[in-house]
This record gives sequence, C-alpha cells and structure tokens, in this order.
Amino acid sequence: MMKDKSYLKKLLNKNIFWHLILLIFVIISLMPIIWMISTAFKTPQEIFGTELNIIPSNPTLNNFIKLEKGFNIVQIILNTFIVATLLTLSRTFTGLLAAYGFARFNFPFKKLLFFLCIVTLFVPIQVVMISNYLLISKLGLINNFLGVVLPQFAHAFALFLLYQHLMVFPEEIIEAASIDGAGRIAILFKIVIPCIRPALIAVSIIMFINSWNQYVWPSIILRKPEYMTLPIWLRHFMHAEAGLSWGLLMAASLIGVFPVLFLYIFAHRKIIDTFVGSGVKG
Amino acid sequence: MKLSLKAKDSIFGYTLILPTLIAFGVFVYRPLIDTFIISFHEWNMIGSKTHVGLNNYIELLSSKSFQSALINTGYYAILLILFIIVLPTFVVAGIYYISEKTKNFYRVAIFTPAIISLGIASIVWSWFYNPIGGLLGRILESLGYTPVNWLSSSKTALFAIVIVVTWKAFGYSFLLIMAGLTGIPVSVLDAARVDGATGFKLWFHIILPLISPTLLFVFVFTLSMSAEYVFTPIHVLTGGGPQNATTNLMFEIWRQAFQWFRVGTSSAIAIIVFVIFTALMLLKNIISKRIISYDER
Repeated sequence: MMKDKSYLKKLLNKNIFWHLILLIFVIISLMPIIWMISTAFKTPQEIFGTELNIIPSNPTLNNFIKLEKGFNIVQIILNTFIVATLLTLSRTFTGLLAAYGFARFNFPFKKLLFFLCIVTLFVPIQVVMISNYLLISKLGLINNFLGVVLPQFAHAFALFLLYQHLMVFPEEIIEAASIDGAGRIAILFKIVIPCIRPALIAVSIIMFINSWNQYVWPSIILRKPEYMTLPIWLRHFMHAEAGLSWGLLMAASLIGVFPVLFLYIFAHRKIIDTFVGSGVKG
Repeated sequence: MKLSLKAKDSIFGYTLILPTLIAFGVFVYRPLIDTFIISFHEWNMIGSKTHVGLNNYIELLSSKSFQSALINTGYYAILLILFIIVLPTFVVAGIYYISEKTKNFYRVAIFTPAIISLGIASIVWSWFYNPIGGLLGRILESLGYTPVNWLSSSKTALFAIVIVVTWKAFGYSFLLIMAGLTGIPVSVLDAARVDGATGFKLWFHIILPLISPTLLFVFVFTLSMSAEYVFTPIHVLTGGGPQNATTNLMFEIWRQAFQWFRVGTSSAIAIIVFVIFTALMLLKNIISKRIISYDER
C-alpha cells in the first residue's frame, strides 16, 4: 500500500532534489552581497552597460577613492567604530556584572528584578524612543555619540547569555578561592572572567555586530552628516547626494558590511551557535 | 555595627546589578510611563502641553494613515509568516536528508544575510530593484518584460519591502527550526518508523508536532518583527508611501512624532503597540505551557 506514493517518496529521499532546492536558497542569500561587491568595483559605464558581468571587466577603485576624497567616508567609518565599540564594551561589562550578581548572590526581589531585566528584550525601541529622545535632547546630547550610547549601555541579551554561563560555573572553584582569602571582586576578575572568556568573546562579537548595524536610534539622534554612523549615513547619502551613483553607494555599502562579514568568516560557528542557542531556550 | 555575611552578599549583589537596573529603569520603564502620560496630551514638542483626555486615541480611529498602518501591519505579518516560517520549515525538511558536512555549508551560507545591517541591506536591495541597470530589471528584460520600479507603485511596494526583510530574517528562523529538528531524539524517530510512519506521515504526525515549541517561538518572533524590523526598509526606501501603501504601526509612531510633530498622537500609537505586544507575549506563554512537550528540560 505504500507503493502508490513511492515515486514522490523516492524523489523526496533523493539528495540531489534537496541539494538543488538548498542551492537556490544559497544563491538568493548570497547573490545581493555578491552583486553589491561586483558593482562597487565597476565603472559607471559598466554598471549601466548592456553586459552583465559578475567579475568587473576592468575593475576600478575609483568609487572608494571618490568616497574618501569627496564625502569624508573615513570620518563616517570612525564614527561607526566609536559608537559600536562603546556599546560593545559597556553592554558586555554591565551584562557581566549583572549576570554575576544574579547568578551568584541572593537578595530580596531577585527573581522579579531578573524578569524585569529580561523582558526589556521585548519592548520595541519605537515604543520608548519619543520619551528617550526628549530626555537626550534635554541633556543636550543630540548629534553626540553619548546620546546614542547612553540609553542602551545595558542589553538584556548580553545579561541573559552570560547569566546562563555563570549559572553552570563550578561552585567549588569559587569556594576554594574564598577560603584562600580572595574577596568578591578579586574572585570576579581573577577567577570568573578568565574562565568564561569564550562566552565573553561570543557576547562581545554579537554586541559588536548588533551595534555596528544599528539603525533606528542613531537615525533619531545623529542628524548632522558628519556625526552619522554608516547605515544611517548611507540613507542620507542616497537621498541627498549620490542620487543614482550606484557605484558609490555599493562601495559604501561594502565598507559597511566588511567588518561584520570579516567577523562572520572567522567566527561563524560561534556566532551561529550563540544566536540559535539563545533563541531556542528563550 | 557589623553586617552579617548574608547582608553583605545582598548588598554586593545589588551593587553588581545596579548599572543594569539604572539603564532599564531610566531608558525602558520610565519612558513607558512617560509615553503613557503624553498620550493624553496634545503637544508639538516645542510649545506647552494641553491635556485632551482620550482624544488622541479617539482621533486615531478615524485617521486614514493609522488605518493603513494597522492593515499593512497585518499584511506584513501574513506574508512574513509565509516566508519566514512556512517556507523554511519546508526547506529544513530537505536538510534532514543531507550529510553533516554539506549541512554546515548550507547553514553558514543561508545565515549570512542575518549579520548584515538592515539599513545597508535596504540600500543593496534598492539597487537590485532599480529599473535602470538593476539586476531584477535586467532579468525581467531578458525575459521580455518592461522593468518597473517596484518601490514606487502602491501595488508592489509592500511586497518589495517584505522581500528585503525576508532576505534578512530567513536564515535565523531557518536555523532555529533546524535546531528544533536536530533536538528530536533519534529513538523517537526510530520508534515511529518501526510503527510504519514514513515520508509525509512521519513529517506531519511526528516531526511537526515535536518541533511545535520552536515553531511557536519563531511565530511570535515573526509577528513582532513584522512590526519592528520592517521599520528600517520603510524608513530607507519608501517613507511610508506611496499613498501610505507601506506604512506600518512602528513607522506611524516615528512619522507622527518626528515628521509631523504630533507627539501626543505618536505616544498613543506607541501605547497601543505596547499593549498588543504584551498581549502577544502572554498568549505565547499560555500556549507554550499547554503545548505537548517530549523533553522535560
């Protein structure tokens, strides 16, 4: 009786069928990135020419040179690095402290406070951005990197991931150290941090990617082009100056994806495991 | 006075979590209350606030742009559920039959867009959509069609934005569903096979119910994304237009406050969104408590 469906079954069980489908998805995933890289190295003539080359027929760095000379792209890259680094450091550090506090010490209202921290992950930024904008502008931090960093110097995802690691941290090691007379702070810095270094690196990478890519909040705070980070500067650039210079826009886009792509190439296993692991548990 | 060890531990614990509590207290919980209060006022951000009671909420009911935003959010949700849950579940079915080594190649390749900024992705896709010289236009042309600008027609703009978000989010849900699948104990599958479940039967009666907790998580994640994530491509590419065709609730919050300076109206929408989100989270928790679980971790 199973024989009636045997053709379909055979087809489904054939690896080649699935390889083809998966390859289509791989192409859709990578094609826009490849097309962007290809356009970034093309001359305007070739971009709008009739031939469709993935590898440019005469590759040029002109787009990058123009971005540097005419549009001060180095400043924009620097801005993005400053904001992303500040956010990565502050979120990893506050996350580590809080995770250590929640995982290792007992105090009243611990469960409630932990819950209130974690649910902030589910409050969309758009819901709180009006009020935060008013506060930041009262503090005079519009067009200031501090205005971008201050409202998000802690991140529930960093806290949650490090908490998970500290919960399974062997108690004996800490006990042995405190018998030896190490204080609570010394234990944190001399014993806990070196032991959970892989987790700290994973959290830092995720936070860096997240901060580097950030769009909504910086677009509200950084209004002057010279203070903008790359993703929001690109929009400004497209609407205000570049018009249809797709070569310039794709060159700038390539600069914008390069650091995260670089991280991904070297740490893809770590990045994927951290994203997916937390998602299933959350 | 000498403090007990327990009290010292408590104080140290509080000190450690203090920076985080300040961050969330000042920049998440304070704004929620603040926004709630502003939503009962009329205010243009510069002059003085006028208390107007529930007026902002009542006016929203008859506001054209709000109605479009509400309906579009529904459209975004339906399309994204189709593309980010139904589609990857189908593709994951395929990876099930493929060897461990090649599996990893597919995982890494398909996840790549997930690490790229949605702002940059929007720009890259607008080059793809561009009728002059864009890749899509060239493909259509070679097939004998005239290329159109997807983003400037009210019939296609919303779909074009869904494609951008799908591209960015597909890999994440793909890997989550795959992880759910890998989490099913081999013994369960073997037992099902012994009982005669194969092919589609195995999929629909055994595997899908077993990964339903994962699917539920991805479902809620997709719904919140259909509101939150979509903001960036709208902001970069269409500005909510043409004729409100692509605006959604989140974009409406931004537009009311930062483009039209109707801070009260904007806050009212923000509160409505917050209520919807909270309801969604509660619903998810209720369902996931009732859902069958094969694994009591």
